[in-house]
Formats: sequence, structure tokens, C-alpha cells
Amino acid sequence: MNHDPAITSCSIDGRAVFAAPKLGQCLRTFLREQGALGIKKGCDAGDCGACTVWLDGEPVHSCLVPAFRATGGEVTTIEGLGQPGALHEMQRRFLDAQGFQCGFCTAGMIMTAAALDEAQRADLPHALKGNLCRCTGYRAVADAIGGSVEAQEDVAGQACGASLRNPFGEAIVTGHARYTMDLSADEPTLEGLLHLKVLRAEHAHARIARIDRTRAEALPGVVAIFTWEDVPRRLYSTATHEDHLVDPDDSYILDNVVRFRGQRVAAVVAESEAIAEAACRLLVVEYEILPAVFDPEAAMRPDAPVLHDKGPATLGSRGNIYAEIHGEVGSVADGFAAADAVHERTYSTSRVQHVHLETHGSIAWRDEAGRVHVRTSSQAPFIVQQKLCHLFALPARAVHVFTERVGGGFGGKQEMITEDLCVLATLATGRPVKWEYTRQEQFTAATTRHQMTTRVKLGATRDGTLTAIEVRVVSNTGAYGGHAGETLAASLGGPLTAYRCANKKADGYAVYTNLVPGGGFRGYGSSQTTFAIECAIDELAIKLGVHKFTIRRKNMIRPGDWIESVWSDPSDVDFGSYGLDQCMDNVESALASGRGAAKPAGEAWLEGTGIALAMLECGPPTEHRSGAEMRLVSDGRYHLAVGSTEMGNGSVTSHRQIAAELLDCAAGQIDIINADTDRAPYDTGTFASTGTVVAGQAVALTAAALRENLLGYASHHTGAERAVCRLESDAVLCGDRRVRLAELYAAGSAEGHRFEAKRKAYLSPRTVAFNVHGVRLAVHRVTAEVRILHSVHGADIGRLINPMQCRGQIDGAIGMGIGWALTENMIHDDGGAVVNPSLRNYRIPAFADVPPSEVYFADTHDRIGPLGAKSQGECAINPVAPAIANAIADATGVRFAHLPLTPDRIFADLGPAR
Amino acid sequence: MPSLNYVAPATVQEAVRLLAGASGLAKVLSGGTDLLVQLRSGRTRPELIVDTKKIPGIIGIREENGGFVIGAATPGMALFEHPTLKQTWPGVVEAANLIGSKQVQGRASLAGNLCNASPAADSVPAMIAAGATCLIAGSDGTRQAKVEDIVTGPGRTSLARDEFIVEFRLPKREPRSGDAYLRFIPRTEMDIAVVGCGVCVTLDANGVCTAARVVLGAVAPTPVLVPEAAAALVGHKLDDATLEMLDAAARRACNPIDDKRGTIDYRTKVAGVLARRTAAIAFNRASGGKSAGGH
Ligand SMILES: Cc1cc2nc3c(=O)[nH]c(=O)nc-3n(C[C@H](O)[C@H](O)[C@H](O)COP(=O)(O)OP(=O)(O)OC[C@H]3O[C@@H](n4cnc5c(N)ncnc54)[C@H](O)[C@@H]3O)c2cc1C
Ligand code: FES
Ligand code: FES
Repeated sequence: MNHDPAITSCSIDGRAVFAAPKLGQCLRTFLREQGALGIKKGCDAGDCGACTVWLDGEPVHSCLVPAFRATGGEVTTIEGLGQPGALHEMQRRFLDAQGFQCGFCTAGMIMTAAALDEAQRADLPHALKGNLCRCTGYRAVADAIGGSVEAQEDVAGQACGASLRNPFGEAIVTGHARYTMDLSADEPTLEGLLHLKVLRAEHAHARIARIDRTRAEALPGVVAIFTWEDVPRRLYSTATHEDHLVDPDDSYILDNVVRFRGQRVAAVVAESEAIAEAACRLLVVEYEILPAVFDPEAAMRPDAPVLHDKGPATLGSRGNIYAEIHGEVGSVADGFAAADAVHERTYSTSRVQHVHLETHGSIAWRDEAGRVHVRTSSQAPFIVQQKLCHLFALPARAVHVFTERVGGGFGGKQEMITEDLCVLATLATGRPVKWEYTRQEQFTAATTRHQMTTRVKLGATRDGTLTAIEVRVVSNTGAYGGHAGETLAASLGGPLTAYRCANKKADGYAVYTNLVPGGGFRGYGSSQTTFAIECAIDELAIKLGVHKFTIRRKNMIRPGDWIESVWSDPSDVDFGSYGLDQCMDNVESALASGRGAAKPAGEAWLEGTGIALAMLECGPPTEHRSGAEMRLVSDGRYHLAVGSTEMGNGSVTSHRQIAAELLDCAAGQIDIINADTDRAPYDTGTFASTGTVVAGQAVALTAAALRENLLGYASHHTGAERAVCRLESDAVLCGDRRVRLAELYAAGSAEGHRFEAKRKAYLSPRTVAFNVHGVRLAVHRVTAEVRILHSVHGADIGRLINPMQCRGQIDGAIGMGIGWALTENMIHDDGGAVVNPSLRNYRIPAFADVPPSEVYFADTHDRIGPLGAKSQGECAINPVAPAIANAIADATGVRFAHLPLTPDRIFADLGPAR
Repeated sequence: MPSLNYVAPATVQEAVRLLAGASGLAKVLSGGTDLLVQLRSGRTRPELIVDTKKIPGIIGIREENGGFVIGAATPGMALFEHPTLKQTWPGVVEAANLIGSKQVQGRASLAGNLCNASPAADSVPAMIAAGATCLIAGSDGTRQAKVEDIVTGPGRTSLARDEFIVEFRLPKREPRSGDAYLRFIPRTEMDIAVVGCGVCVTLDANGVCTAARVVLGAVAPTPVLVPEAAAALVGHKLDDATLEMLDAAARRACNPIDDKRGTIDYRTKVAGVLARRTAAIAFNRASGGKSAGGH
């Protein structure tokens, strides 16, 4: 048979390449093997656009083009489009408008945008339909393509409060930024790199009777196979928290019982990914099928099959109920008795996935000294290090965990789900091992938002004053209980605290079922109850004939109120500032302005308006610590090391700005490294809204300490009074003498003085932040299409360290909220398998789905958070879905209480309005 | 490791010979936008891939006897950019242009869309409505077939293992006729149809319909030609009563499944609505109006 080309020759960014693609290889993997690492993988199915390159000048998804097809062709990647210092116009625009957050979609986005003509640019919703971004909500992308300049100049002494560019922005827009998997094959540490693949369970609940590995082992190129018999039999939780007791130790690296379809059954390491995949298919597994349960109410019944029966580790548990929380303040019985109206309904939210564009993955290797290094895509590298030490009985110094740039997290990477197997395989083989999740695995074998069903009962007097709030939450944690207890607690916290009411009661259950496990996800339990309560408040208001703004203003928490949910023990939450009233006013007047799009013509379109509010306690109730180190280096620049991860949340930018403010310099004078257990001080992790209020606080304390150190030495060095010494850009002013920092450094180090500081921050007390979302939309009474016409958001997040970034976080959260409300949903079949594990069928919002929002910031300055700032990246999602649901109810007169509000569901219930 | 061979023959005969000679599964490659995804996910594991790209004429459009001959692997973008095709068969071009993003448009072909045999394939109802045929090459030479006779079920076609599509033919358009395609999707852009509808009508001088073809996609295992829906139009003008009959006939033709894209009730209802909207555009075009399609 004539098999064509053993050798492809093409040009990549002007460089001639002669190499043989593997049979069946796509252009994306081929180009990356040739070192074109600017190209990213988000899906492998033509859905996300992260892999976009130009082939002979035309943008293509390189994952959809057979590598052979590039023969004789000219490939342009993001790295060939322009260079640092010589940017292509479109790269410059993305830099000026900061058209990215994590930047993982950016290479593809720019390659598509740069190929658009004038007409196509005028219709971005259509022209960009092949490029998904999970972070930005697309507004910043539109700004960038439109050429608006959002970024401001970095001026010494004015860093904080300015819209500064991301310090790695140029690297991101040129494709030079390196993410977890962007290591070239000739990297010395990766010599002999092995590829890991996992065989996953085909049953929702089964005991593994036997695994026959003979055929798999015989496959040339297979190096090792691991099953439950080959791993340390140590229980742990994949969830990462400072306090290891808040998650159940209910997992083994590999187990002989599978509890959801998609659970790991065996791992294969081989010379190539294809061989590892083929070997997985050759493993023969005999299962003893066990009865499975998917519905948490059914799982709570005494006759339900029990998922976890591990003896002492779970002693005290009640069947499948992993956690229960009950609390009451006042008496809801009295409260309902005093009510003129009572509203009661059950609401539910859907199981959704984070869809960070960079999938999970890690690479592990050992150095000559035997130390294990793990390069991973994690929000919590320090806790990962601890967990690895625990699992493999290694001392802390033997394990080094770090991140490169992380392509999005949203809570999904507050989980150790790849590092353990890579380390296991590296320890066993002595060779470097790499494992990257496929997009499908993200859906079938990572974590999800907890699906919750929430019964809400509210009572109020005629004028709308709440007399009682009662909720019952049932959270489906799936097969494992990571984050189940904490999300349940959060679900009974902020959303109830947001309203002042003397009588509150809550009952919560987190229940194991045979589905993909739940995990941490932006909003963390709070989003789910906010949805239920905010819908219920609207329904109560309608019953009472009280306006939706009125009922909220009348009952919402305000300074002086006791900040409590249903626990009457003392709390460490305090009003560092308060701007909920401003958020309400801003949203109300924006909605009343009549801005936004007009209702589509025709009587088939119904129009409605909805609002919702949300409250966030800034930081988790569990322990959370961050450290920072800072020093002056010989050239007069500063070096800052922070443990916290940057995953697109912008912390590298804002941390530099915080430090710059305290050191009266430009942010550009500070080099930063982060998230590295060798090179940065301990940090619990970037989650639970702590990037600013804890890690940022550590940076502030450190910078302030370094300032004292510098000024103290400067005073000693010049003989000027300490009181007349101050920092100014790259120098110290001591009275009328100006000493450059480099000079000061030279003088000090000659004397053995060390210009460095280290501080730790711990989170207590915690302040509060607020968000209000408002939306006007249209619903088609027959097809149930929903069009958002006007979207407005009020945020009370304290002082804005970087307004452009703050706005970007909120735009992104709104986009994610719209997806959760309208289109996203993991659907399972009767056997517990996810039937839509791809971006084609699991629909995150595309450009066309997210209208631009008006965002208003309350004018507040927090007295607890660093430099007046509060948490902001997480919470804006919470009021979005209920505001949309309330608007749909307003438009149609029908209440839709179950997310997502897809057209077919709305259609089914629309009866009367139709 | 199971091996996968890749060949790029330069003639139709060579391609047929390779297909006929393959001992295992052989797959024809056009744009690859379906095939590559399926290769990656392991949904298909062919032993041989026959890339048609080097066959002369497989990409390209020519006018012939007032109609059009479209090479099987011609990408959607080329259809859009053709100077006269869009004026003549706007429904077909619009349908092809709904497929995927800008990046996909430069690759995705009519043959791939048809032979991938997804019930929701966008270009297929439009091609059937337009009365398109295809030229199929096989070991016994070539044969013509109607597009509606190709797909036999999800992922299945009537092509023999040594056959592949070489080109499509769109007939000369009748005077006072017009075609249209609309689909309904859950997301604003870039989605797979919940329902698709292609309509082609011919009118007399008074605006009364004399011939019609109505085709629904995504509501049954294959795209369905609905003669009852066409019958609802023939002999009538586009008035409320006609639209009501069309709506009812379209709903009756639905045989969808409850799946991740929508419930049976919903898809059935939307099929009726979509048939009305599509017919309105087709009538308008047939009577000389320039109404643009939507999606
Ligand atoms: C991101 C994305 C979005 C998409 N959106 C849509 C959409 O909105 N609507 C839609 O309908 N489709 C959509 N698709 C699916 C796909 O793009 C279309 O089906 C496309 O038309 C397939 O054409 P192709 O040339 O790429 O086919 P290929 O992938 O090359 O082939 C597809 C199938 O047809 C067979 N085949 C190809 N050529 C021939 C031939 N000449 N003779 C016989 N058999 C042949 C192949 O063997 C294969 O089985 C989308 C795909 C992607 C990746
Ligand atoms: S990786 Fe190619 S489109 Fe997602
Ligand atoms: S910036 Fe677009 S996916 Fe993160």
C-alpha cells in the first residue's frame, strides 16, 4: 500500500520544518511537538478555538486539520504573528484593553481576530463563534478588537487604583507565556518523558473483581501499569483546604470499588500517549456490579445502597449522609405565626462544570538528588505538596510543587486529581511522567458544582417585613465528599445572613450518590441558596404586592445588625465597610434609565425585569494563611515572592500594585514570583476569595515592613532623621539628599545589612462584600427563546486596586452566571454516565450569549481588607441566575424554579402565557 | 498498536481502488471537521484514511446548464464567496454557512456534512429541499442519487464500502421559486440544531404555490422530506390558514427523541413554528423579495 508522506515539510512562523507526523496526528499536536507552544489545547474537538493558527493565511482549528494536510503549507502561530517588542496590531490591542484574564484562550482569540475583515469585526458575535473564553465574559475581548485602550500608565506612587497591565501581558499576547503543559520535549528535565493515561470505570457502582493486564503489558512501549493493588492504601481527600479535617478522607489513589462512572480504575504509563491509550483499552476488568443510587433523597433512605463503608474512618456517619447541619435562631414557628403571608417552594440548581480552558494536568520528575518536582495546574500547590507527602510517606523537603501560568481555575483546581498518579509513576519508574486531562475527562472525572435542591419558606407581615426564613438544603455531593461539608455550610451562611430577620432556621444534608463528585466552584454553595432565596423573595413580594426593590431594602442587612445566619455562636465576620445600599440604588437607576436593547418586535415577545442581591463573607470560615517575602536587589529593583496562585484572577498584577503603593514606586519596579513551594512562602491556596484579603494582606504587611527596613537604614546611612526620610520611586529622599536604591543596597550590603522582609497574614476578622444584579430580558412565548436586553451589576468590593481588572472579574462572573442560568447542565443517563461531556453539547456561553453589562462600583473603603479592598472575583456570580429567573417570571407570569432555564423547560411550563 | 494508514490518491479511480482494497474500515476524508474529532475520541477506528483533497475537481464550483456542480469537498466558505450561487440557492448557502465557526467554515464540506449522517446536519435539509443530487463513484463506475436517499440512520449511509461522493448537482432554479433554511438552536451561535427546516417553493404569477418541498432536520433519525407539509402549501397563497396547515403537517412528521438538546414536545412544537418561518422566507424569495434568512 502506498502510504503517503513519511515526511511533512512545512513552514512554521517562517521556519522550515522537516518532520514526520505520526499517522492520524492532528496539526495541533504536530506543531507543539515542533516547539510551537503558543498554540493551546482546550478541547480537541473544534469547539474552543484555543488551537487556532493560520494555514496559508486562513484561520483553522489546528486540532481539526490532519498534520499531513500542512505539507508544503505555511503555518502562522501566535508566536509568528508578532514578537515581544514588535507586536502585531491585534496583539497590541489585546494588551491595551487587557482582553484576557488567564490568557489561555488568547492565542486563538488573537489569531481569529487578526484575520477578520471590517465587516466581520462589525459582527463579532458571529465572527468569534469559534473561540470560547471562560474568564472575561467577552467584554474585554470586544474592547480589544475594537481598539479601546483601557490600561493606564504605571506611575511611581500612583500604582494602586490604576488600571495597570498584567506584568506578563506581553508574554500572553505573543504566546510566549508558558502554561503547565508548555514544556518542549528537549527540556533536559524531561528526558525519557512518559505519558500517563487512565482507564475509567464503566459502571456507577461496582467492585473490581479482577483486572487482567496481560495484553496491555505486552504492548510495546508500555512501561508500567498501576491498579489498586499497586498503590499505598492510604485514605485522603482530593479537596485542598488548610484544615484537613473539613473534608472526608474517603478516597484512595486507586480503589477496588468504583463509585461513579469515570472513576479511575487503572493507570498506564507508556512511551507515547497513543500507546498508553491503547493499553488502557487492552485492560480487561471484571466488575461485580453493585446497586447504584443517583438521587440524594433516595440515597438518604435506609434501604439505599451505601457508598462508603470504610470502617473507623467514617464512623459516626449516617449511611450516605456525609454531613448534616442544623440551626435555628429565634423561632420560625413563632415567625410564621406572626406572618400575614407565607411563601414556600422548592428550587433546584444544576450540576455544572468549571470549564477552565486549560484542563487539569501535571508533570512530575525526580532530580539527581532524588527530589520530586511537580509542575501542576493548581490553585493550592502547598496543600498538594502536603497531600503528596502524606500519600507517599515523603518528607516535605523531598517534594517540590509549583505552577507555571495557570489557565483558569474557578475552584476546579482546588483539588488534587492528577499530581498523585504522576508522582506514583515517577517514583516507580524513575522517569518523568506527564498527564493531561482531556476535555471529556473534565466532565466525567473532575469535579462539579454541587447540585442542590432547596426548599425555602418565608413569612412576612403585610408591609413586607420578614418574620421567618426557613430553608432545607439537600446537596448531592456525588461519589466523594470533598468540599461537601464546606459548601453545605456556605449554602446556609451568606444567603441567609443577607437578610435581617429574628427567626431563621436551616437544615442541610450533603449526600453521597453514584455521580461525578462535587467540588469547589466559584460561589461555593452560596450561589445555590442565593438562587433559591432570591427567587422566593420575589415570589413573596408579588404575593404581598410589595415592589421587589422595596422588600429587599426593607429587610436587607445593614451596619449595626448582628451578622448571623442560623448559628448563634460568636462570629468573626464584621462590617469592614458597607455598600449594599449603593449597589441597590445603582442597579435601580440603571434599570430605570431605559438603556439597553429594545424588546424584539412582535407580540410573541414578553418583557420582564428581575433583580437579586448577594452577600459574601470575604474568606472562608476555615483557617487560611498566606505569606509573602520581599527584598531589595542590587540593581535597586524589588523582588516579591507570594505563595498564592495566579490563575487569571489578576493577583500578580494587584499584589505588585499593593506593594508599589507602600513602597511609593511603580509596579514595574517589582518582579514577582508565586505559587512555588521552593521559592515562595507558604500559602493555603487561592480560593475562597482570599487572593486579595489574605495574600494581598500578606503582601501589604511585607511591603510595609520592607519600607521600615529601608527607611531605617537610609536614616542610619545618611544621618538624616527617620522622620524626614521617604521613598520615592527608585530612590530614598533623606531630607534634601537623594540616595538611589541601588546605591543604598551597595552601602547596606557592604555593612551586612539585609534589605528584606517577610510577613504572614491570617484571616480574621473577615469583612463582607455585596453584589446586586439586574436584568431586563425578553422571552418568546412560543419558542421560549430568552434574550437579555439590559444587564446591570452593582458591586461593593471596597477600594479598586485595579479598576480594569475588577471590572473584568465581574464581567467574567456575569458571563458564567448567564451560562449557569440558561444553558449549562451536565446531563446523566440512567446508568449515571454524563451524556454531554463535550463543549459541543455542554454549552458554556459564547460571545453572542453574553451581552455587555453596565457595572457600578459602590464607593467604599474597607477598614479590614488591605488598603481598603475586599474580595471580588468570586461573588459576582451569585445574584446573576436568580435575577434572570426573576425577570423570566416577571415576563411570563410563570415561575421557573429549576436551573437551567433552557427553552424546552420554559416551554414545558409556559402553558398559560402561550 | 493498531495502525492507521493515510493515503491521498490523485484520481477518483485510485480512491475507489483503495477503498475497495481495504481489509478493515476505510474512511473518506474531506474537511475532516467531523472525522478528526471522531478519530480523537475513538468513536471511529479506521485502518485507512483516504484523503480526497488531491482529486481534481473535488474542491470547486462550476455552473452547468443553469445549475451548479459543487465538488464534494468544497468548503462552506467557497459556497458563500461564489458570485452567483448565493443568489440562486440562498437557502443552501445559508445552511452550509451555519456549519461551525469561521475556522470550521474554511474546511467543512457538503459531502462530509451529508455522510457524517447526523440527523441535525444543517446543509442536508436545504439540499434536499433544493432537489440536489450527487454523483457517486464506486468500483462499478459512477451513479447518480438523490440526496434524500443517502442517509439511512444516525451515522449510516446507503453508500457501499467502495463508494464515495464526487460532486453535488443543484438543478437550474425554476422561475418564481425560492428556497430557505432556518434552524433553531439553544445557544445564540455555534450550536447544533434542535430543529432544522429547509423549504423550496415555486409560485404562479398570483403568488399561489405550484410546487413545494419541505424538509425537517433533527426531529427524526434522518432528515425527513415531508410531502404532507408540501401538500399543505401547494395550491395556496401564504396566508394564516396555509401556515396553520403547514405547521400541523410539520408537527405530525416529527419523530424526535428526548435528548440532551430538548424534549419531544418542545422539538415538535418548534418544528411547526420553524416551518412557518422558513416557508415565509421561501415565499418571499420566490416572489422576488430579498428577505434575508436568520438562524
Ligand atoms: C466546532 C464545530 C461546529 C460544528 N457545527 C456544525 C453545525 O452547526 N451544523 C452542522 O451541520 N455540522 C456542524 N459541525 C459538523 C461538521 O463540521 C460538518 O458535518 C461538516 O460539514 C463535515 O464536513 P467535513 O468535510 O469536515 O467532513 P469530514 O470530517 O471530512 O467527513 C465526515 C464524514 O463524512 C465522510 N465523508 C467525507 N467526505 C466524503 C465523501 N466525499 N464521500 C463519502 N463520505 C465522505 C467521512 O468519511 C466522515 O465519515 C460542526 C463541527 C465542528 C467541529
Ligand atoms: S483545541 Fe482545537 S478547537 Fe479546542
Ligand atoms: S482568558 Fe479566556 S479563557 Fe481565560
